[in-house]
Amino acid sequence: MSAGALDGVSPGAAAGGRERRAPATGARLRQELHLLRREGLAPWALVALTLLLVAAALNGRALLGVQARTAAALEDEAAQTTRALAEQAGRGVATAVSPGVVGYSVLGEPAVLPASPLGALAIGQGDLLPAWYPVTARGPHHFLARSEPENPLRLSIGNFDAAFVIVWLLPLVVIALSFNVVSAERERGVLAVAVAAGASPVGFILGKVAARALVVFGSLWIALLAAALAAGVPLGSAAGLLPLLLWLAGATLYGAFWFALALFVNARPRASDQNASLLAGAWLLLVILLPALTNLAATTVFAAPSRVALTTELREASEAADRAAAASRDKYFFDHPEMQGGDMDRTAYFQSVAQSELSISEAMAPLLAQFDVQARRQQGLVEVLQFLSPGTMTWQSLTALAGSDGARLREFRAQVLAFHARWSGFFRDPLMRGATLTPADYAALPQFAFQEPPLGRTLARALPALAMLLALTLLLGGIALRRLRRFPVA
Amino acid sequence: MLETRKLSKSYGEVAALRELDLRVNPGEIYCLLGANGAGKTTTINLLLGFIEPTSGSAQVAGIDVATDPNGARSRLAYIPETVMLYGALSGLENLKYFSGLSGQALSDEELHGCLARAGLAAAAHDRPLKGYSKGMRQKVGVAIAIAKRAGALLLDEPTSGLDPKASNEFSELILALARDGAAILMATHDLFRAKETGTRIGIMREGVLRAQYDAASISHTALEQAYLEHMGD
Amino acid sequence: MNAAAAPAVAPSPAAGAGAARRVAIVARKELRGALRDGRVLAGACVLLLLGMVALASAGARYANVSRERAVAQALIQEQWTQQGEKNPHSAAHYGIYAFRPALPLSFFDPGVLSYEGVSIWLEAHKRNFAAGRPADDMTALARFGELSLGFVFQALVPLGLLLMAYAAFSSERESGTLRQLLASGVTPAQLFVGKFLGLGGAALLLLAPLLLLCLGVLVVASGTTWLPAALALLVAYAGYGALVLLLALTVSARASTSQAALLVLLAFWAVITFVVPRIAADLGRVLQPTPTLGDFQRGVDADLATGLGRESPAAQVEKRREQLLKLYKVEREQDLPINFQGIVFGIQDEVSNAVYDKHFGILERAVDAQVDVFEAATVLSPRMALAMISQELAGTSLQHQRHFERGAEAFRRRLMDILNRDIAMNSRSGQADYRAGPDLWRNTGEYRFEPEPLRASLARSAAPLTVLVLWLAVLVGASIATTRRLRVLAT
Repeated sequence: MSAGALDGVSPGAAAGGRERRAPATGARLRQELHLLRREGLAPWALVALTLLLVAAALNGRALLGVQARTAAALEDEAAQTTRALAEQAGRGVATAVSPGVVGYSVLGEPAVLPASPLGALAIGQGDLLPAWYPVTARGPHHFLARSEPENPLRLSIGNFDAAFVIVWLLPLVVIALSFNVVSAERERGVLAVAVAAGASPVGFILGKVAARALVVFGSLWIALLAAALAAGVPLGSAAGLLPLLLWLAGATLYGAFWFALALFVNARPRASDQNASLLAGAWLLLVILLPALTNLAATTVFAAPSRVALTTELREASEAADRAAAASRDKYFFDHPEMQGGDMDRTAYFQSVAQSELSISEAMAPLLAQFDVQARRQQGLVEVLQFLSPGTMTWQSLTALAGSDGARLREFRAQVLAFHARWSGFFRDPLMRGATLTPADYAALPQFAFQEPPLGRTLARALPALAMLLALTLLLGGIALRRLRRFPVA
Repeated sequence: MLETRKLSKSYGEVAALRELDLRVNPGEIYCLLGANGAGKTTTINLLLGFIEPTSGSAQVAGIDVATDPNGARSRLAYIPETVMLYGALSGLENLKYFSGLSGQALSDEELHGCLARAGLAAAAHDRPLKGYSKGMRQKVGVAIAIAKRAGALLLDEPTSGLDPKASNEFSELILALARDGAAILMATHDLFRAKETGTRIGIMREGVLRAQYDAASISHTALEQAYLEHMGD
Repeated sequence: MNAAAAPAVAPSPAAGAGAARRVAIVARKELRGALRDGRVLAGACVLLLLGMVALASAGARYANVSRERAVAQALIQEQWTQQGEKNPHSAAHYGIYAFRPALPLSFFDPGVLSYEGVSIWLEAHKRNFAAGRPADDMTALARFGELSLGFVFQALVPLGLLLMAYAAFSSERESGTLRQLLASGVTPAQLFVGKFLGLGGAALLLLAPLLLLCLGVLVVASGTTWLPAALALLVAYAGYGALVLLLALTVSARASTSQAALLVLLAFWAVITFVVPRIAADLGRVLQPTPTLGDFQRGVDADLATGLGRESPAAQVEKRREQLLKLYKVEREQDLPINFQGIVFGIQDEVSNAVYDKHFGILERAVDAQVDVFEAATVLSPRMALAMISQELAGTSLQHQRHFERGAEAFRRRLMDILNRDIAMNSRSGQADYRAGPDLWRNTGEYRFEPEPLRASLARSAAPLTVLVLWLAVLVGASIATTRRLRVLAT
């Protein structure tokens, strides 16, 4: 039996309606909060969400902690070696003053990517791609391809970090609390009774949604702050605080989107379990399928060059360089410098090494650059296709703010390559001149310091997605409210 | 055929049925009268084994319901107050399904025959059940009971919601089934039909069987008076 | 009324044959009902579409990868045999590459191989890690999970089964048809089995086109060699499907309302499919951290210098020199009829091989410890158990990568041995200009990858398979207990 459209006109509303409504809102809200607590699901879900967020943040921090300790140990070791070599150079030890031996055999500088302030909240590619490179004077292809030994099973499954909890699990909490926000009341007959008693249906429903939103966002903010503390985010600095505030905004807007979607689904009269199935399907589509399909599209359209081809190219280039070097001396001794005699031979040997490395690097550079180009194009396509799915958008923004998306890692690589050019030049110049290294040279060794991209640019990258989330929320919410005005209450 | 001995059912503090002693023999129609919540439906559910008794026993054709509910049910046919079947299937398909489940292997003609005997218009046999009226669905329920040819029949408010003509047809059918030898227990509000079709009449209130009468030896007026008296306490 | 035509009361039907018949009747109705349900058909279409997208992309990638690696391996081999006249030890340093070919079933389940290197440089004195991880070239979104057929069957089909079956008992109870069913004489157990067979049968029928397509692609790509593995996969996935269906029916029979059943099942599905694996994987990392590359390198360098606690390499060389001088009864190394340098290389290789065995062993055991934590956690999530079985049978697990790495290393050691012997036998000590030619390069043989036999994969799948069987047993028990005390009335 359909009661038809009721636009909330009730006998008592006309007189003193405004005064009567305002306190009613507060009381209604308290009533809804009480109901939520009694029904039992909300407290459990929110406690679970909070615990998971904090656990995820701690997990991220542990991962980055290992990386930081490794990097610190390497820097110490390099500093020690440099000091020892400088001291030896002061005493005139042959191996310490030869730029060939030092640059091409002994000394390397670890170029380290410091953890970004919010890095522990979203790992992104951070556990896959290197956070430090052992730069030597030899060609970049020697150190670019290194990777830490890792459990590939863990890598293939993905990281349990705060971004995962927000993007995947927050929608489930919102859905669990609001899939039946209208349909349950309709099925129980409460909606009809409330409307007959004088409440406006839209107001009644919005009251329920508001209570749920209050509870969810309240615990979300508390949980995220706790997670940020657990993750070691420096809340005192702008670099830590501003991205965190945008994180909060992003997570909130994402949650708001799911509330709007749940309301949109509820705005048509359906059984509660149909609503639940539809929303579960929406979660599957927006959080799981569309991101996977987006990745498939990006890696198909802008497929990276073949690593296998890279390998064969490298072989050809090495072979060509070797042949060039062997043209001047016996190849047999080329591989075993310990068989050499005398300083003169050593210098000549390393000059050939330097020449080979240079020619190989120059041959490989275009192909290596191509990898970077394709990666940039893939990222570009993803940044366009992300707008198809709030799941992708939110995840992209959260990882961009945490500095864990491809952009910061690629920037790091570019800076490392630039540093490598300076470092190898530092040793190649004296080597080619036949000069030796002095303690003064050691003091003037180039140092690597990562230049963070400007904070404004990082923050700006997250804004389009946040705007789109807001727009979608308002759109879905608006349509839902319009439909609810004509909702059959029984 | 149908028997209960000191059958009781309590839900916590609330006693839905108190020490019911009842017996329905083959060929008898026992009408159970009472208000909502008197215990009529509880009695039927206990006889069907849908709920377990707190104490006492129920037996169908000598089979104890609590120990062998499946055996007991195979001797019973049941028509609930609202017959709920599968809306996507037609009346005939529903009948075929349920009669198959009761172990019958009736041909389509025989099934059509059962539907006809229950009073369902031939044109409706093959239409999906979701288009049926309440009365039509009831007739399918009756057809299922007829097809089963069970020794005992349990009816829960069978004529509620039926128009007088349909109620009459239903009464005729019940009498015919009783003549065929079935023991019939019918829970109902309808005092008139109870007197017309019943062999014996029982009046229940708050889980207790207050009085039993032979339908033949009491008049309509006396029955009505007795009913109001028991209800009024 | 033809009252006299048939006996008034029918005799009760026989028990045993009746039970099977009743189950069949229920099963047929459920099957037909599911196949006629618009939502089920729509869901099946969506799954079919997603499956075909996954199949097409994985199939194309498999074809590309196969071809590319075969071409590359041939090219590498050609580079090796055409490297002209060279001292064998220079050739040893030039080395050769081993590429891991793609196995046919990898199109079904890519496993962990996107996160493992595809090529190993086999060079003198050094055991290298596999390089060229495909994942390094994918976007960060790849960590969301790849849309593979394995994912469709591990995560999406079970969701479909849940949605098909969550209301199986609860909606019948709520609408009242359950009452009618039991009053007809069918037992709860017969009803349960009938629904299981009917819904399961419908699911199989709806998935059949996709399954046949996959089998067809497999046979076209690789003949019948991999059919036994494919059939084993089918059995494992069917087992998981049965497990999910059992769970859905049991929860439906027990839950107070359809809605409660749906919520419980959806929550369970989301948690075991997505949340538990991630937490378990990271828990492994926390409990059993892997050594860093730096640790590995330092360990290797230290042991290479000292010779693993036995004699130092220099001492071993000295001892061998004395032995040979005495054997050939000469005073100086230059007078030996062999090139001692070849022997020296052999000793150095023995030492370095032992050192690398030790340190790679340490790394492998560390990763194994993490995988053990993961495997222990499969008790909480049968989906994880299925994923492990699936990877093993498809040839895309961690252990299959190790098999590749070990085979490549064995080839490297044989290769270096041949080259060292050649130097020792065919030249003299101090002969700096010894060159070998194409004959030697051809004699070293070609690197060929041999996949493991199926029984090795099956043996490794035993543990997760046990977990699945345990879950099935528990669920069967739960379903029996539930049907024994099936609640018939809604309130």
